[in-house]
Amino acid sequence: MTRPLLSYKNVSKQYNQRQILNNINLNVEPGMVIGLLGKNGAGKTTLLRSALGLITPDQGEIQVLGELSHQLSASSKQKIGYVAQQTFGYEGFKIADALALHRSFYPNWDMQLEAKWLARFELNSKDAINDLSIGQRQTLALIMAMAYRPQLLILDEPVASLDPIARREFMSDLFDLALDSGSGILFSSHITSDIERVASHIALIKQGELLLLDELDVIRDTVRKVSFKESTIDLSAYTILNRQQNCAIIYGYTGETVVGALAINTLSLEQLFVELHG
Amino acid sequence: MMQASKRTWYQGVVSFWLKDVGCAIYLIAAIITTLLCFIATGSEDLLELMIMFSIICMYTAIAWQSIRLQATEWQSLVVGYRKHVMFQGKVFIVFSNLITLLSIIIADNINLLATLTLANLVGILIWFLNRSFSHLFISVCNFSFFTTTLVCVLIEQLPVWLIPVNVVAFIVIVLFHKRFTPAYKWRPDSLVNYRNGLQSGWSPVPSGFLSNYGSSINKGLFPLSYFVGASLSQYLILIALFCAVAVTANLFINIIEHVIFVLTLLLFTIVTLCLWSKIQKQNSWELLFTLPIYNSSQSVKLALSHSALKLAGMVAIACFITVVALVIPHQELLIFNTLGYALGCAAGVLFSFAISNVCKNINLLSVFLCLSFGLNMGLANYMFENADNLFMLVLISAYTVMMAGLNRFTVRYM
Repeated sequence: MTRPLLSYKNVSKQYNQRQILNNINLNVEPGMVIGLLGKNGAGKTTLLRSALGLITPDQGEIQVLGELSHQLSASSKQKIGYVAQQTFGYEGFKIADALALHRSFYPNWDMQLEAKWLARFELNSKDAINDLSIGQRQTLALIMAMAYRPQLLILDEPVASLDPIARREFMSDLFDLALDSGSGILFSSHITSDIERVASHIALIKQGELLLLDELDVIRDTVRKVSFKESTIDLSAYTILNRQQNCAIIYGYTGETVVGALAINTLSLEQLFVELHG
Repeated sequence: MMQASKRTWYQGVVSFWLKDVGCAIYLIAAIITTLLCFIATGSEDLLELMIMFSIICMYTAIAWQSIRLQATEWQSLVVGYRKHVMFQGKVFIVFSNLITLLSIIIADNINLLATLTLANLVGILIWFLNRSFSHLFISVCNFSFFTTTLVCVLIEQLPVWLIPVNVVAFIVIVLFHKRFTPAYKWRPDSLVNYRNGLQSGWSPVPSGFLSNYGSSINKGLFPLSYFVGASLSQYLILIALFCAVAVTANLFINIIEHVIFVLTLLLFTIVTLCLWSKIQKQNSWELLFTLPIYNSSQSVKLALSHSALKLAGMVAIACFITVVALVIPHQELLIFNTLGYALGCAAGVLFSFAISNVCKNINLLSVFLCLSFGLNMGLANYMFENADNLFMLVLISAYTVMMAGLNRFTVRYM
């Protein structure tokens, strides 16, 4: 069994008496692309930041590349790529100067990859970063985080400001990176179509709790919306993700008949997201 | 694939230190005053002030960079990044210390070494506090600048015994600071502190201070008050308070020259802060155009130049009344000098506004504001010292009218 690149064990975090993360257990292994889905304020950013040691959990333990997240060694840090929600740090630089300085910190920087992405996303290396649009800044941050082919890539809503074409191309690159380098990727997004396109696994977080974590195909195959009349319907064989008066979202369905069910419907990721937060 | 490119210690130095306005404003001031120390070796009072100012400004620039580091989420992951930026800061510190030390040797006054060591002690406190608590920047800097200037003005020469005390305190802080606070750690509020600081021009006045009393001033100076914010009226009230206190104190002890120097300094500092604040809020234009007050963008700009002129008029009247109130108790009514000084201050205000009309680039604006700050300070103080005849008064009047015209003319470039 391979060692997980990132491992959350019973992680909890409170802010101002509000539970932000509640007993999170999650492993990111090589080759996995985990799409983290959740509403605003669900705890996604806190989860990602805590993996980098930026936030210390109140309970539990986070291991990154075999080390505690708040005690990462220099060699481990060089194997991690991170793009924050708000890109900040190289204001005042030109793209070329920022990249030149940034690459000087990484021995494995791939110049060809950098040039390819600069060309693909039409970034002019002579442009000043202050003059870039939010989307262009985000693209640059992605190049900076990915050009040294990190083993673990943590991305906080990396494509939120990109146009659909750039988003599609970036997502494709993300997937290739995971396949080629055996990297593990954990990224958050609100755009379910992007997650469906590239993620191998889905992690669904609601109010700090990890509701669901599984392979995308498994979720597609085994999550169903069951409609019923009688609230006494027996759904004990399944994990109930959400239950309302006349319907429930179940997980673990394998095609059998459910006694008392009026309808059993499949759900797209977006539908699932909406139903769980309805 | 390639190996990591070789990194020189100065890589990115211009972008980090001179293209970040928050940092540049302190660094440029520090470099200029450091170099001026050579010129000031003849005047020990001035040299003392310059040493203190340059060293503290240099540390403040580093403190600003440390806030920027705290606001950068990924910096702790990039091995060597923080060290690289801070090494550049340390080079600046060594540079300014060497130059000031050299000027002390030229001045041949051991007491100035006490000033230098005290400046380093205060500076390292500013830096180390801010690299852990970014929200303290405004209060720590203002307190430090104020107290050290006061020390320089009130104490002619710091005692020599202070040198070892300062050195020991400095070493103790350097050796033991890590026990007390985690440095450069990312905090959720750091980016907010960084951006707020940049936009407010590091205003020393708390946001709600005297806000109830300033509404009529803000109305009278609209739309200038709209761009600068409530701080405009707060600053003006602050100047009026300062003048009242200074005039009262002057009844008991002759402090005319000190008051005039500090008043001019305060005035142009405030003008600089206002203009900096104004350029940071460029988006506000869009909101202003949508108000049903103005017919076109040209009429907004015209109204802005008029309100700048009003402000200059208010400044001239305030300065004139203050100086008259200062000189009369000492039976030396210097009417030409007083008028010249008041007009010099008004002209300085208008000149600064004209610069801000033309400079849209924040870096350029910062540089020109620094230069105009020095020029305006010099001119106003020179007028008080030397404008004792009608010819000088005519000259400064013509200059003031010219500046008013320049402000009116350049407003179209906004």
